[in-house]
Amino acid sequence: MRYDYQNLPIGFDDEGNPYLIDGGGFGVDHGHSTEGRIEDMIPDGADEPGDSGERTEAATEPVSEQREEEIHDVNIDPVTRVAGALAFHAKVDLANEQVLEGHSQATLFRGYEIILEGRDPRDAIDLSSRACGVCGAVHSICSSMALEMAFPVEPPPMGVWARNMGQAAAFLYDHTIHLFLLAGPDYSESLLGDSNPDVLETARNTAAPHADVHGYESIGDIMTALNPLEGELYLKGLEKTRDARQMASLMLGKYPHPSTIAPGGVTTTLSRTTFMQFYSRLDDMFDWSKKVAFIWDDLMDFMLEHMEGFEHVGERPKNMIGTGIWDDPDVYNARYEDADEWGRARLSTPGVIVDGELVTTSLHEVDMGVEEFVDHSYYEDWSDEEQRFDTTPAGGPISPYSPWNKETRPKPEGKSWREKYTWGTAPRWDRKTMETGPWSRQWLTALAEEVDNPFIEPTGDGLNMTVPEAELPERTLRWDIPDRLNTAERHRAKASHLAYNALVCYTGFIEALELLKAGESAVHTEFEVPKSGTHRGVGFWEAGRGYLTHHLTIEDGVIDNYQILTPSTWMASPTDPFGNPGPYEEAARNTPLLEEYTDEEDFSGIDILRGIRSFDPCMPCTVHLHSDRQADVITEDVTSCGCSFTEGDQPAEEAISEIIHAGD
Amino acid sequence: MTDETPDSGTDDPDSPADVDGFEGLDDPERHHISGEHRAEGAGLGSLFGDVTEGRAEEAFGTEPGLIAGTREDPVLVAGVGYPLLSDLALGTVLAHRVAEWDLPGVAVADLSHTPVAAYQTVSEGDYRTVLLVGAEKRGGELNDGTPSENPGAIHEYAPDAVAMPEEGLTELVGQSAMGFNTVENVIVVTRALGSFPEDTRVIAVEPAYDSWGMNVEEFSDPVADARNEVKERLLDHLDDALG
Repeated sequence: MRYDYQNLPIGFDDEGNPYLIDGGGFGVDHGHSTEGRIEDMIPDGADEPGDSGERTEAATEPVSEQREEEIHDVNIDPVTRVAGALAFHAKVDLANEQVLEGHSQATLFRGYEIILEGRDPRDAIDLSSRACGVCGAVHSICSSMALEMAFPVEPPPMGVWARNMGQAAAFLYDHTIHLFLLAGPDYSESLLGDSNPDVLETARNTAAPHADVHGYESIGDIMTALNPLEGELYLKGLEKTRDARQMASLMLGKYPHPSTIAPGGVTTTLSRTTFMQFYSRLDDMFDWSKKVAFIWDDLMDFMLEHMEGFEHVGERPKNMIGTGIWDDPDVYNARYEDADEWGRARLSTPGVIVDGELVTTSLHEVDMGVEEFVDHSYYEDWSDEEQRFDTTPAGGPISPYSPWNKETRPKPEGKSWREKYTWGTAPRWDRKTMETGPWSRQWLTALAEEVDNPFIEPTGDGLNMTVPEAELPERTLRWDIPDRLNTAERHRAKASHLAYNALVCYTGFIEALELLKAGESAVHTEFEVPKSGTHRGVGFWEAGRGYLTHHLTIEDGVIDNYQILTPSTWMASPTDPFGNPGPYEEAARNTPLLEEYTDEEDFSGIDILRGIRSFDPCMPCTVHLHSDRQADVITEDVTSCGCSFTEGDQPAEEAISEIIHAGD
Repeated sequence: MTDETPDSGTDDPDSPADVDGFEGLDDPERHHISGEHRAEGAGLGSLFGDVTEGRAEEAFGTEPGLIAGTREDPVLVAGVGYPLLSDLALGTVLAHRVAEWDLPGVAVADLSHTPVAAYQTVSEGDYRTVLLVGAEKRGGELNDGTPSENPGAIHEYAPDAVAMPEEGLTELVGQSAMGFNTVENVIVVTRALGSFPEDTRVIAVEPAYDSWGMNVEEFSDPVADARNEVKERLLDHLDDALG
């Protein structure tokens, strides 16, 4: 399969080799965003052009004076129960129960790329790990894979399985936190009692179809168990995070920031005892994953049936991207040229879905199609300089906006939603807006039908996941590719993805014991850091929340450029130069206001929050700013609150300026 | 009991013997708090040591969160800290210091993960005494590089001296599952979800600098000065608890 890029000048010859189409260029009309959409982004604008969601028709109607009175700016800052700092601005029409505009704002600067410049490449593993308090393992591993491609060095099979198992265990932790500590409270008795009391009452009188698996007789019982701090499921979820964290630590040495990740594998001392300790916890996860899948299946089916319009909450077009994860050591060799082969051999298939159709499973094509734009971000465009690389390491043409060429140049100077309003960039694939997450992992794997595993069976229209017997009997969980991509289906997919992760752990357990029996216990291959020349590597390794890449360029033994592209960068992205909103923004615009309210004071925005939280936002939480005038590194908080935009303040610019010029 | 400690007679917390002893610890965090600050060239090597040799260590996780002792021990010393944030690394450094003492009956936890994980580590065992130690900023925002109100000041108190928030506890716990690893949050989350043993003491030091820095030598002077006093207080409490 070769993808016919629609918006990038990349073609393929008869042998499938990519080339730059004659006369083609990667030019961008940066004027678009300051013309076409500007009028829609000012406070009184309600005549926005259509987006690809279903709720735009009414929003394009002329705005009457009476209606203008019902249009309100809603600033949610911070969006709580997310990792890190995220703010969201929405313009809502309370009379018509519509969201007219949405702007996603990363309020803190993450400068890990800048910190890493000039350092020993090996430092990237531990420093990039600190980019997140949950996803440390994914950054460590992704970084180690970029390094092993650049050096190069190939890990032994046991090292690959240790990474796979540790990462899948970390996802068990990550997903459980989201389902029960972060998103779960949105569907709890205590919250619904305020926002939608009628729905809660109906839930109390609605039997849960899978009570025989999870033990909750009614949907109302599930909602009660989701009550924060005291509900049974909330507390059980909390407890399971402990087990999952221990599983990850057994493979990776420590959590959340692993201590045993290195290029060429891991340095964990693994024995039969280690694996048995791992399995004793995994056994409990089998039953937990069965219950969780059916709890959320029942809950989301109820919400879709009894809350009219819930299917539109958080809805977006079915455009998704993933790098895939969990390597097959028989195929993985850390070489970019072979990335298509080892990518397709992964236990979660990489690729891209456009409008619900699988368009590629090639990591080369994924990589060639990615660009990052900063038209609405607090960064300076770097394309004024000569393009560093014209091609990928395999010769595929790339844009000046490719992560291989990107430079991180902080320049906070936004004053309004029409200009720059976030520290997030706008990643696009073939200049299309993409989202990513556990749902994209399952969606891509199901459509691609590449995975060959005794427990995970892709069928083209879904997945069969056979979870072994523990206290509960063996059960095959069926996940069907949904008709819509919305809040309900993100949660449903994530809940079933616990089983997927448990089965990756189980596969690894079996494979690792076989390796031990065969005496193949080596977990690491020695390597050397190249002391001269230019060396490139990229890690393709998903985070719990989806797509993750680390692009690395080493020059004469030190890091010359390091670019991290995270899933939340994709999803929290601002509007791009072509006028396309980011996923959170688009999802908010498509969200109907279903809560019961009487006026602005009574309006909580819970539906917008439900939509945003379904993505499981994970934002950076500290600022790391490099000062050119010294060899040292300083760290400062730089917050840029969008609430002040309408008053003309420039808090971020002032803050950054003060830091940069302090001591001049 | 102080005779059992390798540096009980060392007044200067940054003396060569002290630092050398610390660097000799066989624990994962060693790599996060020693080494050169910034490589000016490949010849200087990695910040975190030779990963191919220095990382050959046992995975741990069977005694959740502990770096020494077992959950059956009567006493837990728990260090709350951020290993890469200068003075905020104090709890982590001290935890590894106490672990090096290898005292019978004393479990040691490196709580450099999250307050929720810290709560779970504390509640995992049946500890009679818990000594919670770390840096605690008073006034201002965390991690903005500004000093606490009284850098180097040592505060000692029981957990119930920290007021529980009247609102936003659900949000705090949710976010504390992913970071926000302060002494105060560890106390609040643990009290929200469980409890500390009655005999629990918090020993907190106000930081002078709470931003980027990863080296023992990068403790600010006030915190470096306070470090030895905190160690002495820990030893006094351990004497009482084990005596």
